[in-house]
Amino acid sequence: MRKTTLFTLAFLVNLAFIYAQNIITVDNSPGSAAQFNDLQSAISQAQDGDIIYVHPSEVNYGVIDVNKPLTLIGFSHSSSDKETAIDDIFLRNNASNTTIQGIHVTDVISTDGNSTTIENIVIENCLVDDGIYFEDAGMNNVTLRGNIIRRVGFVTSFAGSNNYSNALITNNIITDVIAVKSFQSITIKNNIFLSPNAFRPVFNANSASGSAEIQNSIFYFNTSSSPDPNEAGVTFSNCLTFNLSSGPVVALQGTNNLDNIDPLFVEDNDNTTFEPLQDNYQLLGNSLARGAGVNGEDLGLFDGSGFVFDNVGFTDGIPTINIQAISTTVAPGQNLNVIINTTNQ
Amino acid sequence: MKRVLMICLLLFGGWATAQSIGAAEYFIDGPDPGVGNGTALTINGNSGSLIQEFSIPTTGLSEGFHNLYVRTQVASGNWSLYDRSVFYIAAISNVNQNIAAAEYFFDQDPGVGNGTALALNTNTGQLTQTFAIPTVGLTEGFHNFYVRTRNTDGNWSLYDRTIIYIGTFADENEPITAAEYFFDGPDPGAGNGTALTLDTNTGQLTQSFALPTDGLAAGAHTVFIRVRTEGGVWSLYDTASFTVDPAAIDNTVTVIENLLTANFNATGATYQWLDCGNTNTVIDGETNRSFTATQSGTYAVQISFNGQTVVSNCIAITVDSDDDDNDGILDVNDNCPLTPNSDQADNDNDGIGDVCDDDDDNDGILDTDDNCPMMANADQLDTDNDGEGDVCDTDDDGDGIDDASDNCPLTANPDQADADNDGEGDICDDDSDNDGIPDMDDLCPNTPPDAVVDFDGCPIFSLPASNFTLKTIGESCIENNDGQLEITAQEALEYTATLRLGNTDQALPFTQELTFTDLEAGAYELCITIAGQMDYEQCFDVTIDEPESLSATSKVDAVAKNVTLDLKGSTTYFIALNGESYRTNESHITLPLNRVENTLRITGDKGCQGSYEDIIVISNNVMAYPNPVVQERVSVYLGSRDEFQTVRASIYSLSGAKIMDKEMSVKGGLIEIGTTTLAKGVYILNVSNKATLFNHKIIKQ
Repeated sequence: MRKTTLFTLAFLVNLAFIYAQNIITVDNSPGSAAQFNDLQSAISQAQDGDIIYVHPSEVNYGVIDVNKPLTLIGFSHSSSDKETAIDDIFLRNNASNTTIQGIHVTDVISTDGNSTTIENIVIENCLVDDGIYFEDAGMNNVTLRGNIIRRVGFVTSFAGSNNYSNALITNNIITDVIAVKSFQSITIKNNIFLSPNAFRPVFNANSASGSAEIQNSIFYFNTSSSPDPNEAGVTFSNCLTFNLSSGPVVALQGTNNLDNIDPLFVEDNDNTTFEPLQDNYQLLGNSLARGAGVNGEDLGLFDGSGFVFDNVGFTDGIPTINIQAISTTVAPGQNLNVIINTTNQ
Repeated sequence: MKRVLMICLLLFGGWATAQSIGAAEYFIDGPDPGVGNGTALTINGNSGSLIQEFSIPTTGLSEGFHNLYVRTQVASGNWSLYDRSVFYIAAISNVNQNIAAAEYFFDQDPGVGNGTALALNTNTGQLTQTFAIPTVGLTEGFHNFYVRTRNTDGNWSLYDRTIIYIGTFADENEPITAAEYFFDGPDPGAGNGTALTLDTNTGQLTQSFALPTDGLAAGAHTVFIRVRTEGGVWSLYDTASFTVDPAAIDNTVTVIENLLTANFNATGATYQWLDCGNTNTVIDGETNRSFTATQSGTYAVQISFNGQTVVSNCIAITVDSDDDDNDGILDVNDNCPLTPNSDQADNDNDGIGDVCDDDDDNDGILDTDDNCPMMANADQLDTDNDGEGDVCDTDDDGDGIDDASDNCPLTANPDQADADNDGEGDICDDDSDNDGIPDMDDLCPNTPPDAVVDFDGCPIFSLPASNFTLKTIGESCIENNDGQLEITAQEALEYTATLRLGNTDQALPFTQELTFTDLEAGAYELCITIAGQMDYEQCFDVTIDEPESLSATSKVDAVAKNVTLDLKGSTTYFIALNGESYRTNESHITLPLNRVENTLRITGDKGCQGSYEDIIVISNNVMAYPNPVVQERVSVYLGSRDEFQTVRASIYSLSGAKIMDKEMSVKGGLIEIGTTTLAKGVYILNVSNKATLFNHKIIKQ
């Protein structure tokens, strides 16, 4: 009898993580033929585990609440002619096991007001204009990869925005600051801090308990002052600093760091503003940041780990399609000639 | 294992006649075996005062606290009382013991020793090693990886942990194998559109389609197209608008060999030819109704007229090539058009293929005359005259030894003789004894290895750098002038040591050991010479130290009523505070202040270091002390108020005459006012700032 009980329990547990994974299409552009015009309505109708394709549009999809396990996939955040833009994404109490990819979030991703810690959250290839804030009950098990984010967490005044643990923050461009509290379980590696906060690009709200370690990252300033990335409770291993302007960067605290050395990006368009259609943050062949990582990998976004940073935010594994040419007018019954260009990302 | 206790004793003859210390003995823990019955210590010669270090065996003592008792005896036979010191016997872990084992686990701790073992490299207690950990069986998503190690004592470390994410990276070369479209909507859902057949591809594809529009009414329409990877992942769709118009443009093309002509011909129509085989790239300049293809490929034309645009089907064209030597390379691209050379090899990169180039290395020597035709060598140097130029000859001197391993590659020496083993064969070695002096200048060409030689290459006298060992003992106290310098030589010779401080020096002979005594602190130069070796002199810089003077700083916390002392200059400090005595080895100590006026005195373990004395006043009331004052100054304590930074201090006689008036800085709550010029009598002391005023009566005696 006991055996039967245990088997039944195991079966039910497995069922809890097997989702249907239907694809739902959403498009709020005029004349759209998608299954939904409104993203929040699509979320309401979706089943746990469904994938929602949020098609590019000139109209922002607005403020949405995610309250179930879903995968939201946008077309890109910075493609030259089309992007998928959502103003705010609030991950609510039941949003564990949610993935967000290829979306331009024009304000914040937040757990504001939650009473339950949500888990297993993946945010990839997104552009987040303001920040990702782990408020109230926050998150556990988090991957932030391939994004351009202004702020991850918040410094001092909103220390409650840093309630996240077991996080992998890799291969991102950070334009202001990463703030941590549960620093022992958070990996911060191979990011580029692009014109970040000149005096606090990384903040540890729990510095009294020890130090967060930043690895293989590039701090790229453009300021006439003398930036000082050092902060209580933060150490740097195999990182590089450079100021495109006049002031030297204060030497990093830690080991094997390269202070005040131009990383020699292939193209940064001569400034420190992220310009996705022009910048190329791969390293030139003679860059000292090549092979300077803790395990001999390159510093910055391209560490050879298998993940490839995409400037415009195409989602890894999702093919893109572009109708390159089409007959704008055909006679009745005549074939419509169309040329497509499609690429697996 | 033999264990010893190192102690350094400062022994004094305790009486005025300064008899020498004749004997010493010790015992550990007791009971006292009785005077004269302890274990004897061998002491150095002395004149009643002795500092000596002893190494006392501790074999057999258990781990824990023990007491060492030592006493001495003067020549007249009188024993001192013993001195006692506590020490601790403890086993010390060997930090160099190996890290012997390591194990890891994912997510759930199976218990220490039950993880998956890792094979470790040889180490001596410190190890950095890279492992490839299999993740087979882990589900996609977050996991925690744990690892811990064990030393040879069997002690496990605490584990270290990091989070990992198991996931697969997409293969961008994965083929795109399906496509579908639908007109106008609603979206039938991914996989439910009308299928399109795609060409074979490796993840990137440009392809044209002719989509039937049967059934579409005249007017505006939208086509939606999406694709799917071989693995089943759908793209988002792309859309384009078009119009079904009974008066649409004819988009067909007539082909005559490699000439393509659009059939639609109307005034005002524009044409743009496209290269379908090159991602539908616009062909620059090809904007006429007709287009002549110069290369094989697939082409289409885009026609615009009166606001409409149509695109023709892609048409495959084959263009005959001109390849005279039939080697697969068009003549216009062939570096040797009349001689087959499909590899297009061109050694000197001069644009002429090797098969029709008569100077393949472009060194100005025709290949037929060149002794190394594929490597430039205009000098045609051939050391061994074997007909093969040196630059491509693997044995330039023809002695049967390849240049790469020949110790004299340009001079034949099949025996490879190398007397001094310097890697250069004797036959071309100009310093055969390898002493740094060329043979032509070397008067002693067979000097033994490692010998020190003069400019003529002949051995000169020398001693190893480690021959002399120097040991200094600093002054026991400032100005005691009792420092020492001990010299020990490994090789016994007739040495003379000259010790110099400023313009003063003293020279002493010795053969193996010498001690300079009664030295004052300072930086000395010590030079050692040897009888009979006029050219030998070895000098050292030697410093005799003296102990620091005793110093202390105090920080008073008036609220908590304590004082924190920072102490320097001694090992042990004796503190007397308000009659209470404290002894500490710490350099930082906090003590309570129980009185309003607290008397503090600090001494070190050497009387010659002096003392530190202070009076600390704790009060929120203003007070002046001493009062009456007979000394040179009176101290005025202003209490623990923070508002005082500067005050104005005035002294008035009882008749009201102002005797002193000045602005003063407050330090530590105090100001000090000189009273030397005050005659005996009673005065009114007035202290004020912007907010407060105090009057005190003081008496000068």
